[in-house]
Amino acid sequence: MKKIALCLLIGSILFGSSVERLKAQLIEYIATKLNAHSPVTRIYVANGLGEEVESYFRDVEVVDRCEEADIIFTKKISALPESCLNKLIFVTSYGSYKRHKDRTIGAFFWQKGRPNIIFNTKKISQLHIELPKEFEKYME
Amino acid sequence: MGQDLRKYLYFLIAILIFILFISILYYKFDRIISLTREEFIGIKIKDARHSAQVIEAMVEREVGQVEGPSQLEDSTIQWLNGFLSTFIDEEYRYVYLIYEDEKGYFRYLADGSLDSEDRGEFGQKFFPLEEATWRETFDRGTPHYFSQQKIDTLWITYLYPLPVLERYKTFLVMDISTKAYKSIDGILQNLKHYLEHLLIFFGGISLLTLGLYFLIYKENRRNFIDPLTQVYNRNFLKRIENSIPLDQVAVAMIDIDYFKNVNDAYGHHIGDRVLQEVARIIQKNIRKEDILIRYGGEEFLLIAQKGSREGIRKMLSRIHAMVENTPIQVDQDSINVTLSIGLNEIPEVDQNIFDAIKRADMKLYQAKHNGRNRIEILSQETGHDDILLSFEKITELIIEKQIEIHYQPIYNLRNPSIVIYEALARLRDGTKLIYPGSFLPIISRTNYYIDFTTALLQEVFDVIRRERVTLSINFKKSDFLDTKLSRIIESIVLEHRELTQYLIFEILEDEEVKMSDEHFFQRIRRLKQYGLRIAIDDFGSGYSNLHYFLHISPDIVKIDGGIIRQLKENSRAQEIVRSIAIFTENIGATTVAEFIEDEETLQLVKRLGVEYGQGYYLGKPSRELVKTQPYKVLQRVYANA
Repeated sequence: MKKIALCLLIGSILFGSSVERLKAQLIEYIATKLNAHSPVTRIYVANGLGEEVESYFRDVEVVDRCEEADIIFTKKISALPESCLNKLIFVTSYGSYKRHKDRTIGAFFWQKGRPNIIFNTKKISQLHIELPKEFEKYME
Repeated sequence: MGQDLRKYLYFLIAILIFILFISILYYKFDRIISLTREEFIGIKIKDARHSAQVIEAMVEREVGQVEGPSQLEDSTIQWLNGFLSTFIDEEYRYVYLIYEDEKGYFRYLADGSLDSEDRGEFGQKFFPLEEATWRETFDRGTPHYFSQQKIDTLWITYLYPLPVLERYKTFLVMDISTKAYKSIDGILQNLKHYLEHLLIFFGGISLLTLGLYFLIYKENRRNFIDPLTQVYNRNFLKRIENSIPLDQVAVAMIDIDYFKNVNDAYGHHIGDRVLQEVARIIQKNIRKEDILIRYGGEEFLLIAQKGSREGIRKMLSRIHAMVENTPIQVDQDSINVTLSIGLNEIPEVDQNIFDAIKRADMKLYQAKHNGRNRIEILSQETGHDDILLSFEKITELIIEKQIEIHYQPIYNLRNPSIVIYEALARLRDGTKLIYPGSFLPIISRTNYYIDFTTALLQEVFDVIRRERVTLSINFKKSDFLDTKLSRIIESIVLEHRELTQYLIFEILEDEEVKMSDEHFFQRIRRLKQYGLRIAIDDFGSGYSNLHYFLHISPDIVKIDGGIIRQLKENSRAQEIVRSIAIFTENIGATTVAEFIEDEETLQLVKRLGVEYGQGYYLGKPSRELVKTQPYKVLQRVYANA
């Protein structure tokens, strides 16, 4: 059911919304699912996502410092301070994911005009995170 | 009016047809766009298939077939990436190979994408948005394409089976960019918008035209349609006078006989109904291309297109008979009216439509003169003399003063003597005499009519001065309503004031006299003060009006010839004549009976108390002033006296 919800989310957003809105909703969806135990999910987006993307957030709080965040979205892990490297990190490029597989829990990026999600199974199990069933096909 | 309105109507119809055409085109345009898109997709897919076949051939030659992805060497993958990248351009946005692994996940085998962000790495999962379509295609194993609805940079995705791996289904994927499509779609969409604007533009124009049409129609109706009878009025004749092809029409003047009697007897509202009914009958019997105009009070002008001559004659006969036989309901009663019609079948010999109308009017005059309720025709055969009598000819004769006066004696039936001579004007054209009915309608309301009247009056005074006899001369009421003419008449009379006792003005009873015609009465009263006597001509017919007796006290009353002619057979006519004679005598005037054409009539008028008489039996009009009464005439006058 949840899988269908994610597909519907991707499909409906792709069909009727802007890429920014889709990005925002997918980030929000992934973040809240990964942080399901906490009532508020704080995210830090390195280099920012732009005001438009952030304007679509409803259930997550965007923080300015990565130390305060539950989940970090960044393109380059090297840009993060040491103090944040132990947080849940999601990269936004496949190349970065490949290079820093040991530090990231997954990747979320655009390729050929299509959204791609990858969850790092090894890291997720290391961190004892229980991933919803709907994300199973994105596990690597 | 019709032509103008027709032009607007045609314009409007053309615009509406155009709007309809554009609307159909507009509503069909989605289909056109769709067909064009399909056509264009067909071309692109053909292209893509060709490229896929080339790739297939090259891959088969260079790579061959391996069992699974793990058997592919890095160098082969590099070659594949490099080879696929050669097909990438602005249209072929992405060209890559995807295989389906054991778990059913789609994975990259090779990718020709040059941008590292877009390039999928060997073994990387690939998530198509239209997963079901992909699965079906992989299951079927045949080429397939579908339009991309969810990715706005892509137009079509083309899947082509490429058997590189023995145990895994592999497809070559070509994502075609929207750039190619957008260029043609842009043109089509622009055309669609252009059609939209065109539709709005022509819609606006048609609304404006419709508004304009309505305004012109309303204006034209107000200007050119007689509100009572709903036929054209004289303004319309003015409008079309230069566009009437005289050689293609016949002109008829149609007059309702004794219409004034209807008005007097039943009131104007019934008179109006008679006019409406007559107009309706005429309108119903003419053709669409014929023009009916209410020309005067009870006078209609018909400009009929010449089909055959008989056709127009038949049409007028039908109108004539139908009006006569159609009773017009008046309260509990019904009345029948008749028409007098003058038809000019040969307007082509006239200078303009007004000359043609005058000649039709001349025939109408003749029809009235010959007893009314009839049609008189001016045709090639019957009107040969009239044909020669053009406006120019008449004016030429007037300028050359070819005016002759013929004198018809009026006898005192009680005291044997000629008391008055009626001066009757003629025009002399060589050996031929032209009678007033043939030229007065043509020159009426022109300066030549004034010249003619002036010359005639001068001549009459010359004769009076020379012969010292009493002469009467005919005038129409309208002569005294014309300020210029009445002033000229008055000045000539004043010049000859010492002779005015010998002159009688006969006012023709063919025009209605109303109380409001104060100018007319004033001018006649002034002339009477100069010593002139006034006679009412044709009393008892047409617009016989007792207002004359109230306002100008006529000296002589000439009983209408139509009544005198009926004396022998009609006792009512005798009573009328007796009554007129008594009435006239009582108001101090003298009665004259015209048209005494035989002995019996002469004796009857004498017995009925008529004082004066004239007619062919007593004396025909003659060029010479007959002063001594012929023996036979005296015998006639005094027999049984």
